[in-house]
Amino acid sequence: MEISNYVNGHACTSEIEGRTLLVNYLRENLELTGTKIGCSSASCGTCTVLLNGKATKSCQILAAETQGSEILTIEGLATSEGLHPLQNAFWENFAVQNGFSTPGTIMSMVELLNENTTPTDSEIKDRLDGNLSRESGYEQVVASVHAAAAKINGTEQTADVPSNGKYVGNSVKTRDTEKLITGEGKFIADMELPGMLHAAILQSPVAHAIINGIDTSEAEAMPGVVRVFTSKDTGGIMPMPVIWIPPFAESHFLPHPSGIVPGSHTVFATDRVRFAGDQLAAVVAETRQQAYDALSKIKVDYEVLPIVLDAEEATLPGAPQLHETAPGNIMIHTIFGDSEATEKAIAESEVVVEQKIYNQRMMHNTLEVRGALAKYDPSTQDYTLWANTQIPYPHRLLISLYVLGIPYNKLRVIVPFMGESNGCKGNLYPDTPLVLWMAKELGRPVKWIDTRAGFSRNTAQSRDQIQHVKIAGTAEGKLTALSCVAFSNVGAYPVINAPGQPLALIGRSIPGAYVIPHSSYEINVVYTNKVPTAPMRGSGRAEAIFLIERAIEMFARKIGKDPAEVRRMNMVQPEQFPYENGLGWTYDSGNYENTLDIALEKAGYSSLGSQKAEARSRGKLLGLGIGSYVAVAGVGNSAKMGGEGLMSGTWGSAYIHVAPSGEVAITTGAQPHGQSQQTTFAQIAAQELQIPMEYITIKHSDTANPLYYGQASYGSRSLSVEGVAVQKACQLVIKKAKDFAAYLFKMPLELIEYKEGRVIGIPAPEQAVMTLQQVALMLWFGWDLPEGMDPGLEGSSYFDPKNFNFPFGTHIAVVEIDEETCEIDLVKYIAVDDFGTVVNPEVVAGQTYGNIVLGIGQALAEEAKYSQETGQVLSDDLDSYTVPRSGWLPKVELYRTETPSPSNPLGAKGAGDVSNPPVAPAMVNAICDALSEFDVKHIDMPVTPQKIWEILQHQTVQSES
Amino acid sequence: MILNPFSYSAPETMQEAVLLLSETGSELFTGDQAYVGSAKRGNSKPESLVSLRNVPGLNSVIQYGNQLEIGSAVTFAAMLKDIAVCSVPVLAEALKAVKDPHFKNHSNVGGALYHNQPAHGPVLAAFLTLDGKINVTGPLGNRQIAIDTYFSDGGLTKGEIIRSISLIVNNSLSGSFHFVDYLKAGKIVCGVAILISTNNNSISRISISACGCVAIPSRLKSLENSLTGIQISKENISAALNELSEEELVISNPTISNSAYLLHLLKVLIKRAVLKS
Repeated sequence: MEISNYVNGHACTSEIEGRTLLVNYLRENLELTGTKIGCSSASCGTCTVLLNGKATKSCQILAAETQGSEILTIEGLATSEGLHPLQNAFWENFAVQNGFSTPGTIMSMVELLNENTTPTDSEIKDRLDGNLSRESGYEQVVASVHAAAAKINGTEQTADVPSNGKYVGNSVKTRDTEKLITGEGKFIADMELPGMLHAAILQSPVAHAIINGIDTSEAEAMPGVVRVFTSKDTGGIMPMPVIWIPPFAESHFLPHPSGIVPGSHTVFATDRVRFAGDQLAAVVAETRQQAYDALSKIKVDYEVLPIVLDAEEATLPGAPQLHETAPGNIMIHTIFGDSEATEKAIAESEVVVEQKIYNQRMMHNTLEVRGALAKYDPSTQDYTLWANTQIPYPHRLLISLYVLGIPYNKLRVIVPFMGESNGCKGNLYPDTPLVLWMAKELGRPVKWIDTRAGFSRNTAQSRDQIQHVKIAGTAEGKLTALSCVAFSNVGAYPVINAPGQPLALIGRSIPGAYVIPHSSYEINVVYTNKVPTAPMRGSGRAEAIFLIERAIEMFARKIGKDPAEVRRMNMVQPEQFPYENGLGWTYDSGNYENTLDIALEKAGYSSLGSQKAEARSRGKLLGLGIGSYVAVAGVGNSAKMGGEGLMSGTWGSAYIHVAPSGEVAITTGAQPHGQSQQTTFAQIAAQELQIPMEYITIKHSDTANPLYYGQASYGSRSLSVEGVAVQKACQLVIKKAKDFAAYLFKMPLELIEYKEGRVIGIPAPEQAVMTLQQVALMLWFGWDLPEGMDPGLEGSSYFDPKNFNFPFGTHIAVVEIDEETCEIDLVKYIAVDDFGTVVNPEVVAGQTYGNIVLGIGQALAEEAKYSQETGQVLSDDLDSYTVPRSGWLPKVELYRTETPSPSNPLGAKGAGDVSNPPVAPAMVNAICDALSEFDVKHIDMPVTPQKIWEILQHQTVQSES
Repeated sequence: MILNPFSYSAPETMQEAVLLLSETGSELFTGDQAYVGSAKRGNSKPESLVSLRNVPGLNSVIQYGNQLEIGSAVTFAAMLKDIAVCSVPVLAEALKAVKDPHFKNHSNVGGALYHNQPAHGPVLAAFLTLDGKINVTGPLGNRQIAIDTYFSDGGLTKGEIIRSISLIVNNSLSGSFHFVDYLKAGKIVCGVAILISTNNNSISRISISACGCVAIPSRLKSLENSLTGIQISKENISAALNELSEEELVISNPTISNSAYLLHLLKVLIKRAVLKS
């Protein structure tokens, strides 16, 4: 059928099907890809457009219903006079990180400002209710809407932007953002290549079964289908590799034909599936719709086997066994610390608290699902892969060396604009090399974009650890010992680096910010019939800090002491740095107690009693919870990481090139996906080179860039490792410029100064002076060089820190619980963090808001739910997996102290995910504080009103009996 | 993505729409976005879809004396902007309880009655409490169905189309809507729409409907009978509420597994609503 309407002021006519959705019509027929597809179930709002002026989730509207209608998309928002005030405001208020949710959010706010140009915070948050922000929270969005409203009303006030006169330390506007606020930036799903085919991948709906047969005949006969692939076709593809092999522990992995590393799952399951999501077949067709239409016609004959989903139960005799190579389903068993000494100390302690804690399974649920696009050029044998991955260089290495067996130098990996990762895009999944292989097989480019339900079954999940915790100390509150015996559920297969998370990241981090003379961590890493796991924002540190912050809270309550004071008396003191925590980390610097004091003061801790009484008069139970933390960051230290088992270096790298024109291009080993390294690294370079930032380009996201290897961005490492490599690259250029100037000026090197982008001969500053551009030009000519000096002004630098860095801080949550309904209101949230030297404060603030939102989600709602009978993921969309919305949050208050790290010359500490770990314990501590009169000691996350009501019912029944 | 292909038509008269809908394999599309969700999940698999978007007369709110007639294509957002609708507190409060602004823009009266999705619950509960009458056109002509009968007797026959809903506005009754938005995620796990009149602190008339915690929005008539005539006090209300049991209602919610908790919420909200009056 034909449809005609007006899109962004233009009359449009297209041929569509009756079932065509508005979002697909816009993206595919009109090529307006600024409107994104996130959840497809009306939850996330990334597809928001204005339909006849009304905010509309275009994934819920039939295109046919828009006949004659006016549609405004993000592409139509700017006018010949420039960007819309909201677009500018989002940019200027740092409301854009990876930008995937930005177009939809802006369009919703356009509707609001069209109706109300003086909205309150509450009105803005109400309108934001249809849009999710997973990475950055909502604080900066609300500020943006106020700013845009003021602009529209002509009431904007020009505030003095705080400046220290330098690039480092100032909130410079972020780069590439204009493409994100206009819809111009292309994400993986937005990409098209000539002759491109579309793939759909069949996932097993059965969690454990023998495969007796797969019938693809009906699918092969469907319109548009080019090929259907199964394991019969992919015998030459090797299994996924595992690259975290702890040398100090007994481990039970799967074989890999390389003989170098162990293996994991194959691109298609062959004779057996081990989780609901295991890949079985792929359809490649002319359109995505045709591929999915055909996928539903594949028939699989399953012989269902028993399942096990609980990590502790999986180790018991009689439990279903997943792999012949792993008796008892144990992948790894090891102990950190001296468990005998710890148990002895516990036995001798005056007070011991024991608690079983379940840190629930989480889903990363990035609003952008995963995808890949690949092409193969038979004339050159070159492969090109576009993927939304955090790790393009490792993709290149792992796919070429361990999966497809193709030359490393024939594979190029490119990362387009990328939605948030939360850690799940830091892995290599079987789908990605499969897409590359299919492109070669078919001789045409192949694109695969997952669905939301598919994402829930094949993208790694996280956390899922059972912890048996003992904390011990004196009756006065001094801690003496801490032990944990843990079972980590890593699902059916080991995903490349996933085994590392439950090991060092948790195990060495459990003492948190405290001096604990004896501590130990015994870990069982266990296979089950769940989706494989991988690190998630806060990775490992989140589980460890939750453990210690809940344990110290329970300990303080048991001895009847103020939890804040017990923390204070046990915290590592400033004079103790560098501090060995007894489990392998050496804390670098800090004043932990100071952040605690600031947080308590900001939260009004001294008036907590009166706050509780006032709330009680309104039928509310008020509670205050503290989460103090120290989190390892800045990976970093290749030798140490090798010792932990990571089969990779972790150094930072940069390549700098000063063109004869004077422009500076720096390729970084970092991989931006919302952290704004394009901006912050340029700030570092501009400060170091003392030239305007505009002269500096930061290159990334393409393995064809001139860089030996990029170790990528994860675990809060980019600034303090890759950023330092950028700094060192600039210093390398300055050194060569000075050497060259000394030669040209015929002066000793010590009389050459580099200042404000120039080399200056100190004795004759008016005559003996050259700009960096002039130096670059002269070195490009290469007419007159000193002995041993090469032409050109370029070079590579590396940075491998001797130690990690250890950001720290204290967060406080204040909650109110309704006495009758048990609803939980977060009424105050205070965060005091120390990230060492901060390059761009507003960028860091955005990351901190995102960490807090995720932590609140974990505390109150988020959980991957499984059918206990079938092993299927039940929370397979954003309706059944609840993510925090704007209305959950009060005004979040951020404060910072700044203690430089001695681990790197910038003094920087990690910031990307480290402020997530204190959030969940602060929330749960607050809830338990609110319920303290009911003798509630602990509630496992997510702490829902239903759980609270059930506990209070149980307590009431017990007290009555 | 909708896996089932179908043809689409948008007739310009009600008669034509009725005719098309009488054909095998046809389904009605009211313009409510809930239908698309249903089609994506494979719950709706029509051969042909008949849209009402071009049928005139379905998109208006008309007040005749104390009667309000709301067309089936009137959206929740349009109702919230209508003075006559907003003069009915129980309906206005129920509409405000629907959080998602996009949903309000693309959910309408007809869609709520046809699809009865959880997010439609507050508005349906308000309609129930107001004793709404559903005006229907079908192959056999026009008829009116009481809304509680509509829900209890299985709704419409093949080819019938909802034109509007009629409500009686009684300003002597105090109305309100109370709810628990679980996790503030726009998921109303329990909602109560109530109309009440009192005389010397005793309840002279009361209508109560529940949504969210029940499979289908339901009128609580036996509870209404228990409450009618009692003096308003916490003790009297609690005593009446004690008679409300899980057996009497089909208590269920996709988010909350504990039906006892849902029943508890229902009682708390009813108690608060009555005490507020």
